[in-house]
Amino acid sequence: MSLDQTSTTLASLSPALSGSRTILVVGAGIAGMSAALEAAEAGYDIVVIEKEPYLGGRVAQLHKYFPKLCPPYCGLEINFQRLKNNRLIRFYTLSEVENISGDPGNLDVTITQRPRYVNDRCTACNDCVAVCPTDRPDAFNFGMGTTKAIYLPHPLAFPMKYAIDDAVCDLDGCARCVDACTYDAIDLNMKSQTFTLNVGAVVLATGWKPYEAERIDNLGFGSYADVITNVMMERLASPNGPTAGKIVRLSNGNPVRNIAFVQCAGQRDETHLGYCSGICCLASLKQATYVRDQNPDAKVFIFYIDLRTPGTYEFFAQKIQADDGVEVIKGKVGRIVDDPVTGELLVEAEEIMSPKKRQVAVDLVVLATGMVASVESGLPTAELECDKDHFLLPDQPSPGLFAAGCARGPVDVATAVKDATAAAMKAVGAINSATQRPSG
Amino acid sequence: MPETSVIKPDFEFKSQILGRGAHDLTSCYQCGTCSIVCPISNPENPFPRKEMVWVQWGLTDLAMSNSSIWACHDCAICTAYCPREAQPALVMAALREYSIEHYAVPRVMGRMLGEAKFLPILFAIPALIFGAVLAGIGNLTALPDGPVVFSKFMPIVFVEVIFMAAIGLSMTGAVAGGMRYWRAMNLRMVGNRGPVRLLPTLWTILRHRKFRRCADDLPGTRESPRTPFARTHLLAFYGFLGLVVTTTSVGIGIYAFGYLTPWPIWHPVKILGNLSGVAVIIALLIFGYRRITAKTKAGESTYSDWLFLDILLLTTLTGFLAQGLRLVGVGGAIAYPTYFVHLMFVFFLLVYIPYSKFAHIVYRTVAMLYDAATENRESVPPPAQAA
Repeated sequence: MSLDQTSTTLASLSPALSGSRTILVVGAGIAGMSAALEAAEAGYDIVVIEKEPYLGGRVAQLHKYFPKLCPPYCGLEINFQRLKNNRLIRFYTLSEVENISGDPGNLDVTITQRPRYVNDRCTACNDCVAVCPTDRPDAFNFGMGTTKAIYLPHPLAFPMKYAIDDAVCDLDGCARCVDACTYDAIDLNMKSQTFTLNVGAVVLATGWKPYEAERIDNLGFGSYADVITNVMMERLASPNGPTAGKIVRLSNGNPVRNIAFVQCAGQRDETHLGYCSGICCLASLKQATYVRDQNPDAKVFIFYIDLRTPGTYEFFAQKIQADDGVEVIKGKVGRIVDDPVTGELLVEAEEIMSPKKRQVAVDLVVLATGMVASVESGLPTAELECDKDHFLLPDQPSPGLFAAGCARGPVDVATAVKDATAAAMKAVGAINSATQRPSG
Repeated sequence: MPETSVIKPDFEFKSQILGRGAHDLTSCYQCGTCSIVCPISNPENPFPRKEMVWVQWGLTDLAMSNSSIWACHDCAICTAYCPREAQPALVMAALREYSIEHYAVPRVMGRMLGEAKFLPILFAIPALIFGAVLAGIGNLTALPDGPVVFSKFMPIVFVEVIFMAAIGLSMTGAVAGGMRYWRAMNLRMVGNRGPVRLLPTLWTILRHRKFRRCADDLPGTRESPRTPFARTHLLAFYGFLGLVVTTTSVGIGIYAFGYLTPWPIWHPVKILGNLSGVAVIIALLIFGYRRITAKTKAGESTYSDWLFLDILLLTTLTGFLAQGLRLVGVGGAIAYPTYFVHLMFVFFLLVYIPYSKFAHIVYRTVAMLYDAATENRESVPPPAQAA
């Protein structure tokens, strides 16, 4: 099936789809893609919608992932290929659900697709960027660096097409990119479109977003440039990140000689996230290897309450702790201030085992912040039910709706994939029992 | 191999602390945030994280033999930052309350001040003593005639003798309690203690130096539920000190110079007394107002919190009332009983010092002296060697 965000609109699909054969997957991260592929391989028509201008979700932002600490892009590429080559799957970027109503086998879903302003003729030649006068914070890199108003979401983006951020672009007032484009690929007159699809079941794989670290008022995020979050660290270490993979101090670009990881930053905390996201201890241990691999003299301090590395991940934790350059300290960081003389950050915790206060001076601090369900702000009109932590219930009270991956709880990539398979199976089951039920 | 140690939990102790408003303590997961956000927590002997686990495990000896519970000045910033809403400030307050009873000499007094049911007995004691004096001089059945002069109703010499004896008793109790606390801390001491540094410690207290640091140097933007606590306490502290100076001066005036009471209202000592009384009342009203309004943020106040506040307030108020009634000339029938009640409150306040919350002037001073002498040296054994 051809890549299609613009030249054929989603609206033109409507008559071709039937509730008895179609599953809508909301979100094209690792869970959404997995659910789509599994359900398509079971013979169902699949529509995948994604609110970002690219597929791959949070995994695309990682430098390395578990279990092999390989770059996630080879895994993603395989999924993109399978998605592209499966004739039962259609996917649409910049699209979000407005409303869902009806019964399994016959659900009406209202979707709005925002304009990309760039059509399928785009070859990613970059001529438009050269003439664009407007900057925007690089969202993919969590605001570390900027892009132009017309931009490629990231160097390995799929689909490999530019997009225009209409929150900052002047559109018709400027149009320099239109003149620069030799492929006639930019259309500033594109408009938002809203339409309704008839589907049989919906898999909600809306994923997660990082907790807002500036809300943790005692840990200095936002006050000190060298206090960053774990997701920022992934971008910082990534070869296609803002520093081409060099882990440096954001304040002055100097190399990082020592680093502190602050576990449970705004997590297991009644003022912030009451729950444990379950992945951050492993993420910090993993990120310790990024630092140690780049600088064998670097010293890593990991402050924790409980080092939670379930199952066989325990071996990974043991391996990292055996490294002389890594020190794990039991005690939660309560205070981060800067040393005005040395410019270092002073990280303070009570070392529970001694028990005395412990202060370390470091170049960079990584806050292990947690995962917040994206649905907290998304899917506004659909009648969805969440648990007390604002994650979607896996089996929604509205029949035919199933949540998967981080939409229903903070999980690692492997669990999200398994979860997506389960949700795909449930969606198939819901359609089958709806269509096979005798009418009347 | 580490030495085997057996922990013997004191469940009675634990339930006592939980029962004193510290029931949220059980959700503590020992992260130590409290010890770090505290502006005055000692780097070598941080608090209140260790107190939380000592109570959870029922380790009475450890909890009672550390200077930390009295080093804490109850700003409650730990409670503001506790990720588990375990209210460490309330645990520390409960431990202080418990320690007053724990170290009380005789111990029964600690219990009597800690429970409301003993209140009638505590008031009956001064009532009987002063009543007996009145009966002895015949003033119980017939009040003195003429303009109101309190020394005609209750001769100064009796008041002085009773109070001297009472204060002597309470000082003995206070010193005994303070010494028990000091010895308990010494037993747990690792290494050697330095010399006692009395003057620097007193200077710290007079300036409320530690107290004022409670509101400074906070880790973030959250406010302590109890700021600005130090200034109010300073007002009460100097007000009370002023009242002590007034009373002492009056005693000296009478016995050394034969300058009989009542002294005129414009007399400098009298002015000091009245100003001090007003200061104490204002401070107490602010404290009381905060206890009522800050309940949700800082936790419920206990019986002993209110008892202390109310006794101090009523002592001061009845003093003013008696003086006022005398000056407006309402006659002995009203003024004399008011004065009698005032004497009862003064007795209560002074005699029960070492057993009520007032005992903080003893124990906190002892703890601060001890901290100054140990100069931040470790006095807590690691948990493995505890118990």
